[in-house]
Amino acid sequence: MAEAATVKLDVPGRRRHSWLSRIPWFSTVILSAVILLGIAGPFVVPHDPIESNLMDSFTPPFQAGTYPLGTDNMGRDVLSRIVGGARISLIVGMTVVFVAGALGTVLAMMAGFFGGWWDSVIMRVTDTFLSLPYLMVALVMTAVLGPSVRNIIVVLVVIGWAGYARVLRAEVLKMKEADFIRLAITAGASRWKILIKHIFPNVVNTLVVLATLQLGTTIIAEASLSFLGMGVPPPHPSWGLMLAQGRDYITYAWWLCVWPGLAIMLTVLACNLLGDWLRVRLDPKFRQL
Amino acid sequence: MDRTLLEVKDLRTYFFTKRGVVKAVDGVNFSLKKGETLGLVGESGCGKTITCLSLVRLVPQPAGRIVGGRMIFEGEDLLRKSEKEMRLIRGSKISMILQDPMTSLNPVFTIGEQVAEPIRLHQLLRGTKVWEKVKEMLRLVRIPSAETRIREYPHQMSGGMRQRIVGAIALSCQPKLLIADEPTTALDVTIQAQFLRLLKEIQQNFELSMILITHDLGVVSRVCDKVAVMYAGKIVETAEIRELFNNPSHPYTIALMSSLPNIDRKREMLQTIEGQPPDLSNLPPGCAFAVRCPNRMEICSGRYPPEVGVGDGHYVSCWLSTPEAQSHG
Repeated sequence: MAEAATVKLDVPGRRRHSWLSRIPWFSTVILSAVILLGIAGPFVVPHDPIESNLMDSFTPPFQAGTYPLGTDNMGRDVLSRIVGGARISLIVGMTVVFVAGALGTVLAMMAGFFGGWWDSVIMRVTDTFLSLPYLMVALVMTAVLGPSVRNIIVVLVVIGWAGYARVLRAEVLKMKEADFIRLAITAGASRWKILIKHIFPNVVNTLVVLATLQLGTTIIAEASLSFLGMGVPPPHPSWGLMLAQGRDYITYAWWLCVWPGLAIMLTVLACNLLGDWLRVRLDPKFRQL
Repeated sequence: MDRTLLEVKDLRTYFFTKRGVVKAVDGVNFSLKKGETLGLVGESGCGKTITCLSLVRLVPQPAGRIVGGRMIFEGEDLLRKSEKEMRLIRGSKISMILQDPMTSLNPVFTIGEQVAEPIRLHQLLRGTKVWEKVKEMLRLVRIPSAETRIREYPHQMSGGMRQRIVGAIALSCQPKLLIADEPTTALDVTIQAQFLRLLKEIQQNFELSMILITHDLGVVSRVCDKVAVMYAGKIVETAEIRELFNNPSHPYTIALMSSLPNIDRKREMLQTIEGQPPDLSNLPPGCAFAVRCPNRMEICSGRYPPEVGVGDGHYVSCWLSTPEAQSHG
């Protein structure tokens, strides 16, 4: 009996989980690497990502020398180009997510909260944009504007905001009918206060999750556009562009496609996992577990 | 001194829809003294909630509109106030409790934040004074260990506790009038009694007037001083609580009461009121209850009956109670 009393119960409590175990390690490591390399890239890479050196072309990876991931057809260091591509992916991804997210959120809140005329106009425009095939739009826009990083951002924002607007409007509508909003109105809060203080914090979860997922999609979209020659103009390093150029030599220089492909895959996977993790963590029901 | 807090005269709130004009509130009169509780009773869809939303001028837009009447609150007509003035009244002088405590609180803010909001907004307190006041309010509604509870989220509380927190929010600025829209419907019976007792107690301490919307005559008998029975957008009978239970005069009131379970009559089917409440967009010219009324007379479907006094403060709108009907026997 005395023994039984001393048995320690294995209670799954908060102490058993340190904060370390609650961090999504995969996403954190990959994304911090991408961000750090994106910022510090030009100062740490062994070679200039644009400078060609035909003497060293098609050096395979892991060989003794200064090209750990090999070189491409022009003898450019693949590692340096991957790091350079991280910077472009980051700039495009972050800017698009931020601008499109802000635009979509503002429009969704206006449409959902004020309703009526606003709602009809904004949502019909949203429908129109959602029905545009983005490759066609991108093709037309790059044909008009010319391929450049700035233009690829413009194209992706133009296409990207509508998704936020559609999803968040539904959230705002749901919130607007909630009892606590009615009570806030009967407690004397003004419309703007309701919108900003009560409705926005309730849709911000959805917004953040959408944004992380869109970061992944945007990186893929930039890569696809670059792959098709409508994005980042050569010789700038972009993961999609590297894939496109490596495709011609895939039979005897596998590394030209594998490294940029791996970079895209890992980054996008990290974004999506982070999105999943955030979706759970941002729910107040899990906040104090 | 005049003890009247609120006087509603001939309030009319209509909804203008494609199918026609829905007369949700159609000529409602009542008055409320300071510290008094009025029970607003009736079937669903008879205009109880819209009456109360009209009081705070929050009739669902754009279809709904208050088309006539007066609502004299503390000597001033609420219908003449600007939207800005109304905002200052809402939450500070008139506040509300809604039916479902599970959805009445914002899930992303702590309890403390939510109780603090009207205090900051209307009492213009800042800093630690706000938190003192929040704790005071939570203690008032008997939330145990208020210091730790203010940091918790709504999902961590039971339904009864949440409803008391909604109560704390509603009472935080010492309102003169509290509108409680079926505050106990979503609570289980023991918690109901507890919550009603708490409301009653707070009411007596603060000389708060209350309008209690309910379809539960049991709740009415426990809490209210006065009852108004609504049917199809009109008040058909008002009386002091005892008078109404001892001497119900309108056939609808009588029918409502006989559909309550009775402890003396065992193993009997509960009585129901035959038929459905009428379509509010297409009301008959006479008494709206006539089609369901067991004592229907010819005049009932022709003309709406006048309000007649049948006792001290007891008014009823029914042809059966008019002097003519009495004299015909």
